[in-house]
Amino acid sequence: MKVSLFVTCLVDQFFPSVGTSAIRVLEKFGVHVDFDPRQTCCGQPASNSGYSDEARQVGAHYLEVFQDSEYVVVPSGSCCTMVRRYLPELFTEESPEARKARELAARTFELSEFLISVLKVSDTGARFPEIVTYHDSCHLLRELGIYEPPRRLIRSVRDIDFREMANSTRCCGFGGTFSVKFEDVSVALAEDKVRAIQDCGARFVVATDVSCLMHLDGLMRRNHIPVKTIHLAELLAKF
Amino acid sequence: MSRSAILERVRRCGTGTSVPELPQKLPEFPCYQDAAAQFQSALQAAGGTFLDARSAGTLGSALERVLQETGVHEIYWDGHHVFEKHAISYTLRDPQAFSQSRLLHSFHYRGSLQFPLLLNSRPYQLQHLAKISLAVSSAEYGVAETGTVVHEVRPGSGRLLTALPAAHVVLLNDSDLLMNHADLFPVLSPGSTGSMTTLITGPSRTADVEKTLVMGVHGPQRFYVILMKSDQAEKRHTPP
Amino acid sequence: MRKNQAGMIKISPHTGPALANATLQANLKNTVGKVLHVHQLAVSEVANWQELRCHAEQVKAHTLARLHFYLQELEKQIKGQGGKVVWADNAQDALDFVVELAHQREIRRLVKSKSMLSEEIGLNEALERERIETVETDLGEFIVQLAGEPPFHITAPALHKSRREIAQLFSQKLGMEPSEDVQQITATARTLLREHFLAARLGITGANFAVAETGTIVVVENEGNARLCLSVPETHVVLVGIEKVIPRMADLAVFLKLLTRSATGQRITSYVNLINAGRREREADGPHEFYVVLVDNGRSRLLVDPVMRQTLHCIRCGACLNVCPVYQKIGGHAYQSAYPGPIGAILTPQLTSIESAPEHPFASSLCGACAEVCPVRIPIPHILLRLRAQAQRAKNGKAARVPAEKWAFQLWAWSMSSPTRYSRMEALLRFLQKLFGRDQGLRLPFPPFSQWLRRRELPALAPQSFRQIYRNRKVML
Repeated sequence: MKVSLFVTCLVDQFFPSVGTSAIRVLEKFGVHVDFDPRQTCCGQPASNSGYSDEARQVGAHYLEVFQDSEYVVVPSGSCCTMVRRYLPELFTEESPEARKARELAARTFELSEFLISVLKVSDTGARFPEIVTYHDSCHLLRELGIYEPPRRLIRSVRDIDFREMANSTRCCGFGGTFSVKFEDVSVALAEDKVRAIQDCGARFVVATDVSCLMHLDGLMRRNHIPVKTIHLAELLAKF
Repeated sequence: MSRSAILERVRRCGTGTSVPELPQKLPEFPCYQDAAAQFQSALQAAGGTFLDARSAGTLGSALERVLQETGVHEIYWDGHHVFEKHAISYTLRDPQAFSQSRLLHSFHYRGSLQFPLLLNSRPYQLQHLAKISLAVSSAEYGVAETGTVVHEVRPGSGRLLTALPAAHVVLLNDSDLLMNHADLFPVLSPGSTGSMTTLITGPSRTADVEKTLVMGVHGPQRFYVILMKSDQAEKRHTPP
Repeated sequence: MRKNQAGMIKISPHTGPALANATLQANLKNTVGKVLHVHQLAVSEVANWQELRCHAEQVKAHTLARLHFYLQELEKQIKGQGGKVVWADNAQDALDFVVELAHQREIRRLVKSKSMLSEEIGLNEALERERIETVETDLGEFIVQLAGEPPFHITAPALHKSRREIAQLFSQKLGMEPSEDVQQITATARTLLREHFLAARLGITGANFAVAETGTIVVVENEGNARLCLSVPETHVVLVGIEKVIPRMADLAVFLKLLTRSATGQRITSYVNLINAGRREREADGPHEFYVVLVDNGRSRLLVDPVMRQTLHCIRCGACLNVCPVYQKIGGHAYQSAYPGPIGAILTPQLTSIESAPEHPFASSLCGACAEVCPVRIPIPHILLRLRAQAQRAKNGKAARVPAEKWAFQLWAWSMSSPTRYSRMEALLRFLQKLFGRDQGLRLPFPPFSQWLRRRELPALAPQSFRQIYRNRKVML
């Protein structure tokens, strides 16, 4: 099976180990992973900020890069949502781009979803003897409807002490440009989230999106809170 | 003129788009093995009191219990329709009682109630209505799903007798007890009998202060439903 | 809608007032927590909740597509039963009608039950200018009116106030014995409002639904105040938005179930009033005159686009406010509109114009909790995105030169749509990081970085990007 990995721009520039971990996990289960170096971004920042022309420009490039892929796997619920739900809408309904985008959407999967639904893998053989909690990223949960797959994968990790935090499905407050436009609200929401993480006693918080983790980590580091963030791919690659 | 401007705009905006069909069937609503038991539990959950008077001759004692609990000695009746529907026997002390715009009431010293009722009447006046402590009305329907009763304004009665008193008692025939709202709304035909129909479920309530529940704001603080057997009704009936 | 001098409804990006108010935050946390809990219980009890939502959505979609038919049907039915139908193109038309009616009847004080539409058109203020006093009779509305504030929430206007604050308010303004007993607070309001009810000659209510086939106005409530507003006075005026019409009586079964469970977590409210007319010939009481005012006020404009039109599905349950993390922080007043929260963020700019409420669509983290909870399935985040695009077009179309943000996104799109330019940008960022952050992170001293950095750290760019690592992947794996 051949899979194209869309690592996302944030992973590429800030968190490359998420990409390498994703490859490690996928290759363990016999998947041939391809990384097309022409890839950049899915266009979400512009799309979410109301800059449709700019989003379309980047989206068109994304389509060009991935149009021939058999499967596209994305280690992000948010970017996966952009590709699956909003990319087709950037183009006029009957245009060839819209058609291509709709077809590509059907072949695009978030990493945990791909492992569970396509590869039928719920145990990657990872081992992580730590207290861990999971934060549901909004787009993964509510746009793609994925709640259980990441949890199944986490529970199968050896020696892990997995604890649910209170209100795990509540937004961490990141929200793209929201995090700077409504900076104080964004931080207040992250503070609630961090409190919930601490209250459940976790030392690590796992999520499927580096954007949420970057936000939480940014706040925790500034306030010297001894909780670490870890992307699901990184956790699953601990074998 | 606003009318034509609005309608023209609405028509213009609506054209050119496909019209989604109106769904023909309602989704499923819950059904219960024992509708009366469900009615009782739903009514109680809404803060109402359920009294079972399905055995012959128990209406009197059910009403006596209400009189006792509320400490009231006078019952106001929501029009002669109540007596007809539930075959309650009465004697008119006041020959004008059934003429228009009169409030029907009966006295119950020491909280005792006997049939036939001895009915008095007073003019239908707002200031007096506001002082009434206890009103008894009849339900067109009951709904087991939510413990709801349906009140209709009928000729000879009004909207306020069931809205103002501190306590409100509703008589419901078990043959009028429906399972759920999907059974109710298709048969409900508001406007055909009176100008207003009200679905009532429990006492008046508010949670506007800190989401703390308080019973009895502008309407009745106590709310009772007495369930009766419709086919036993005539046993109580003595024609006036 | 509360506009500032520039005619713009503003959401402050620094929504400090509510956020910095510890009492308010504590009150909100307490009450919203209770609301969410009962909502959860009420919804989980219904096995086919999703099916009900789909049914309601379908009925609304159908009705709005044939609205001109159903409005005329509704009018015919109401008139046929003796009611009068008044059409109001905009807020002013509706206000003029009510004011004139009050003047004609020489009414100086009227009673009113909860109506979001009346807030939208500014009814109380308009009446006040004419020296006509409006008495809000819903307890929550009564409290905020007493406090001189607008409602904080669609279904719970005084959600933000603690019993202590309300007790203080009542003892100051009404001379109530100081007491934090909710029973006593309620009893005080009851006694006072009873007087007003009994003396009232004009009652104004809103409507939750208007059933076309029977000409029935549906008013859903718990306190019994609406019942009195529409029973005691000799004149009853109902304010109805044109989107409130539903075709059939039968569908009320579905809509009521969705509405009450979503709004207050109740299986049904204490009272559902179905009104077809004023007092009939042989009835003992009820208003002699019954007016139904059908208000457009910008609604018909929303019909043009089938996606945006879904905004009009709203049945004003307020569930989206309760689940919204942003609303929970900034509170209802921050939205400066009758409609706060997620629904307000999409409704306000559409009922007025995107130019007058350009910030509303941005006051959301797009978390989607609103769409998930919405009983009539309004895709709020989707509509927010459309409105964001409209807002940017409106703003940037007018600007004399390209605004900084637009320019930044143009630059971003330019570099992101070519691998070569992307690599150059990558190199530039790394250079900037060295320059400003000394490799401690991307500490750039200008927005958006500076805004982020005020209370959070930014991660450092990785020493090697993923693509660089991948190029040498044999070494890596």
